Amino acid sequence: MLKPTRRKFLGYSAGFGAVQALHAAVKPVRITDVDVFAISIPASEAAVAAGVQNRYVVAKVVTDAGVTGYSFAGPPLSALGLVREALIGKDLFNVNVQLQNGLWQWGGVEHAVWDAIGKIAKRPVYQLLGGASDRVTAYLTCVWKGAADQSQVSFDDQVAMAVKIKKAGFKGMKIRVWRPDPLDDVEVCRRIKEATGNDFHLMFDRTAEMPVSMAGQQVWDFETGLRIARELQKAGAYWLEEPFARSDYDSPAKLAERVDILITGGESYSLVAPFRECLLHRTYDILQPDGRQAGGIFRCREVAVLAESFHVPTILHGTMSLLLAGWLQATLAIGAPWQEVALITPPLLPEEQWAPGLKVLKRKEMFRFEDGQLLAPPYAGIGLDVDEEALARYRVRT
Amino acid sequence: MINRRTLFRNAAAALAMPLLDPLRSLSDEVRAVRITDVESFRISLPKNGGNDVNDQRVYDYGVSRVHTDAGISGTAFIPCPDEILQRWIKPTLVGQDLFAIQRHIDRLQMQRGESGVQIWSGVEHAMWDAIGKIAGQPVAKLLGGTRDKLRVYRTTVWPSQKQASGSAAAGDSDQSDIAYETQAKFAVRLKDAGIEGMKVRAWRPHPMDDVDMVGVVRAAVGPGFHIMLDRTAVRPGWVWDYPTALQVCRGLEKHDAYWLEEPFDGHDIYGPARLAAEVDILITGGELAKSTYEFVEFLVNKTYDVVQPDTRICGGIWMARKISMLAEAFGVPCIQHGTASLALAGYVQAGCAMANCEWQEIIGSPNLPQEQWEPARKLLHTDEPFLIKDGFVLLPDLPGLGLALNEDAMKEYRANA
Repeated sequence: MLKPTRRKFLGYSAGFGAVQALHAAVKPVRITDVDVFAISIPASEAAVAAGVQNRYVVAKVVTDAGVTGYSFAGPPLSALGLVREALIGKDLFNVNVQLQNGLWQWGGVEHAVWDAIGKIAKRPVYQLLGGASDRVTAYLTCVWKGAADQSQVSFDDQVAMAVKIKKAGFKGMKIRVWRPDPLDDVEVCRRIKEATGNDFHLMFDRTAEMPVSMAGQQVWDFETGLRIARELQKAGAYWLEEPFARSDYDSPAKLAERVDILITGGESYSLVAPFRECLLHRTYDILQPDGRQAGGIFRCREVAVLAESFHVPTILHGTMSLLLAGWLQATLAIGAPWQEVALITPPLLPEEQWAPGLKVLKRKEMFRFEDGQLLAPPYAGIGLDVDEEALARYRVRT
Repeated sequence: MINRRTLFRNAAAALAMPLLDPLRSLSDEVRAVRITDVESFRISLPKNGGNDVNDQRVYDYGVSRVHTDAGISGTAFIPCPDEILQRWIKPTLVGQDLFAIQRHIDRLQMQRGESGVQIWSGVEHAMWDAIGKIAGQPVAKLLGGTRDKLRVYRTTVWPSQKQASGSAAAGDSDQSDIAYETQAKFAVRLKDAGIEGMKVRAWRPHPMDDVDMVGVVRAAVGPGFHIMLDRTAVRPGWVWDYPTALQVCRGLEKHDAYWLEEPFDGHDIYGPARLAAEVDILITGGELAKSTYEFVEFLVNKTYDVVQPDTRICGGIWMARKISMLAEAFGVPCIQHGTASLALAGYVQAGCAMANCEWQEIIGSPNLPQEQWEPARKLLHTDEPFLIKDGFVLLPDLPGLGLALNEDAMKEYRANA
């Protein structure tokens, strides 16, 4: 895979030549500063209207080792005061202690901490947390502009996007099952499977609690959930996500027992305890902690350790563009079979939607896709080569 | 970004990253580190005290060592049997990515089933040593770093006096030929040395004798000192029935003992759970469990108040770390089962990474840990392998497992195969 060049190899060996260094005391690395700020990368109005991603919240963790960690999954700017209070002066490497002190609430800040750790260790973060895999199959979650329940989208457009995604090498797609009549979504499933074939995975997201405000939708009663799950199963769907309320540990379990289609969920939970409850209740066939909401990379890793012991796979709830860097490290450490890439605005493909993000990177490379798989970034930390000057240029002054 | 000049200017960075090649910038691709060889051998240090059975210092060490194409080797003082090494470990590891610990575990488990990972523990510790050295950090810091010291308790096993006189017989290890006062006297010695806890066996033929012994120890050390009892029920060869265990626990509670370890068979899930629910004294166990699956059974069924994975038996540092995560999710302390002398290195790293590990067990005969490992000082550049201060063993501030090995000495004392 990675062929070391002669220069690199010699350099590497020379670095290790100083055996004495192995016996030199390791000085604790302190966090000297933290910043959280918004950036807005120039993009045409038309591009932004089409869904192109140009705004991010950056989390930056500065250390006294001369290394700075970054993430683009920053918390709300208003958190900065608390973040600084909790982290400045602390030992960078004592992640567990910082998590207990509140770091888990600030998502991307934890990713930036790991970015700095990985850069100091000069290894990708996933390799420090078990290194279970070096690639992961991606699926794209597509949400069309317009009504949240997608009732304005024609079935043909959804089929066309699925075909386009498959042609681009991706192995799966997730869409909403929010239409007023869920049997419409079942029909979409049938048509997409007909057009893409059996080796293309189609997932359905009910996100049962969220649409209430967005689409006036309600949580299904159990019989409706059972009926739709059976219909989706018949139509060839791969999984049904969050069919019921998030605080309901029993109904998904009851459903999962009665159907073959996989029942998944977990994106809204924070820390490990709710996932433990899911496992004890057999709530879901697959747990989906979110790389930010669950408390960060390390808490996701812990959830996966727990889930694995119950023989339940962990597949992270996903995100997009530069944010994905932290999620991907957790996914690779865990060895998850899939990584969600969300939210894609059809007809854009990921690299089109994320293009402006390259402007804040020195190495003009975000992620490598190969045959529908996301490859482990062969770089230290969470793998992004952030251009500090570009960040300053695009910083939104408040 | 780090370039050559800023690196040289920044002494802190140079210390934190002793291995950073100044010519490489962070934007360069990270090279995979491949395992080139794995070996296991013995170190035999000269015995100054002859063959006195009361000289309980450790002179012989099994070593596992991993070599990599990064020019860094990792060493752990836990051996790997040669047959296992040749047949399973080398074919699985040589040529593979040093950092892909979980993938190696998966492969070993596929090849050998659940017990597959137990066999590689020494090698796994050595791999973490190499990983930490390449990363320039103590292993504990890479695994979620929680603390920089662990409270020590001394597990003390008296050598059989019959054995000393050459008439050893099975069962003598039950400590029945050791006077309660001898055990009490040593507890006082530990307390005077700053150590805050002692564990002894509860193997005597009459279980209530061990309760009386604890009473004598408590009277001698006074309140506050932690007294733990280890039944390790599979080892003495007979298992208490439930009423006996209950009676013993009630007695131990009267003397304010801290915990009773493995009152029943080590794989018994429900017996300890019933006892733990009924008594106040902590019921602990888990050293024999070889997989996360077994620990989940303990946790779901509330088998133990404290789980005690052994990072050598359960499959290594990463496995122990995973078990601690499981226990944490169930609000259960994870206090590692311990070991002796230089093997301790990996245990201390794992323990300092855990959020729920307060103590570190150091096992030995009635001497202080520093006396036990005194011969091993010959193998090191430092005065001591570990510093014990105010009853805590400190996380070494060296990369990897934290032992500063003198390679010349390692060569000199390497035993011929």
